[in-house]
Amino acid sequence: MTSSSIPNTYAAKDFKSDVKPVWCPGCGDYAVLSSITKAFADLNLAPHETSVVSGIGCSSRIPAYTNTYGIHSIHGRALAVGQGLKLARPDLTVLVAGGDGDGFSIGGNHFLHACRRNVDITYIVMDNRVYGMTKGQPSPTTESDWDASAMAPPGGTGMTPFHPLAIALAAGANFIARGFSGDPNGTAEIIAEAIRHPGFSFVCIMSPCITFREEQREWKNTMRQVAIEPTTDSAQAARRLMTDDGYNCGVLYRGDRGSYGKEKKASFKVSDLDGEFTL
Amino acid sequence: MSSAPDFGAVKTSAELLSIARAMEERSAERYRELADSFEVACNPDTAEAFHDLAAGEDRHAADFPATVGPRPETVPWGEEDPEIADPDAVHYLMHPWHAADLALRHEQETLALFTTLAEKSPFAEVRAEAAKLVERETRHVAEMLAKRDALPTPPRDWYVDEDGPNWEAGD
Repeated sequence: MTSSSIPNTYAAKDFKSDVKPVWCPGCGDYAVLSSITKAFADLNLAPHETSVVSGIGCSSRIPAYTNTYGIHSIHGRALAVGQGLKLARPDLTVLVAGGDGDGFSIGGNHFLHACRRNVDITYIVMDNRVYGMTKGQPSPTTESDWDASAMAPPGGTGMTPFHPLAIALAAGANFIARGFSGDPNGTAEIIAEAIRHPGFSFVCIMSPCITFREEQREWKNTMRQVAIEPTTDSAQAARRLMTDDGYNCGVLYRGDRGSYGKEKKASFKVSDLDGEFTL
Repeated sequence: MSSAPDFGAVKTSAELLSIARAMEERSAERYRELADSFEVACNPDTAEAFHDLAAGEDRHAADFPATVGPRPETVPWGEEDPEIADPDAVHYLMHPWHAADLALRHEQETLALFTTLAEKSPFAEVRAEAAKLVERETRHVAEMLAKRDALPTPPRDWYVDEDGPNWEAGD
């Protein structure tokens, strides 16, 4: 039910397609898919009013598993496609989804500028701190000393892990939250709130890769619901995020910037366009 | 990260019955999702075991009287209710025995939940209905225990994959 107590037309299952996911058994992305479809249903959205856009990677297969409009786009460019879609079709609810490699490495620049631009879309990153689809290379969020995979350099990369939430805040994202696939109901609530919030909403969902990072099964015992109220003060949010250990879940920041985008005109006259080209 | 069940949230026996049946239905859905994932992972025996478990949960749901009300949209225990297997509680090499063992644990947890509800609910009719559900879940636990024990026990190194995803040259 929505807050207005109008019965939902669509249930979560109506947002799932008939395509069977090819994720590994036990992958956290199954639960994220459930959370996304539950959020859509809880918001009383309709499949034909909703679009899921992704890049490349395990988690980026998600448009195939949702019964909405969807674009399985190119590596790192999901945000560019998603923003373009939203600007062309502001009536659609646009959710962009992908993984930490797609979003923070290949698509790192798009991430920064999507935060700045503040188009009214929601970006979900399923962060497992590894490139799973290509069999276990370190990603931008991988710990600097992680070398458990045959694909990782001995001793780890030695590189400081990317801090997606702090970077999103610094770049201007209007809503910042962290979720955990092991808490599908809580994550669905966060996603619904992110979609409702105007502007660019970023939700980083910790989603274990139990194939290449089996130790991430322990996240079930380490992730915790954050015991603080979300702040609208970016300086306070920055302090919180820079002292954050990466295991706090919940909404951490709610900004109040106006979202980017032009109002779509109900009607359009060619003479208006002519005026723009008058010398 | 699951929250403790609110035992006062269920106020009538009718509400409890609709929730109990929804738990069986949602459990069947989860087992079907797991079966699908094992089919994709080329582990047909375990996929079949999960399909079998889903069919069992369908039968449990069908055991409820037809007069039980519609499935509630939410239950006090959400998706983390004890009847439902965690999607990440599996391994791609697991055997049918593990699937049955997983289901047994969830039946036991459901039994424990209804036992507590039968003792702690502030509403007499809920306590009485929960006591009947305890009898029902006791049977489910016994059935699942027998099912698991009839299956071959997996070898100790069942999780070792000699052609695994982390294969390294020279291994």
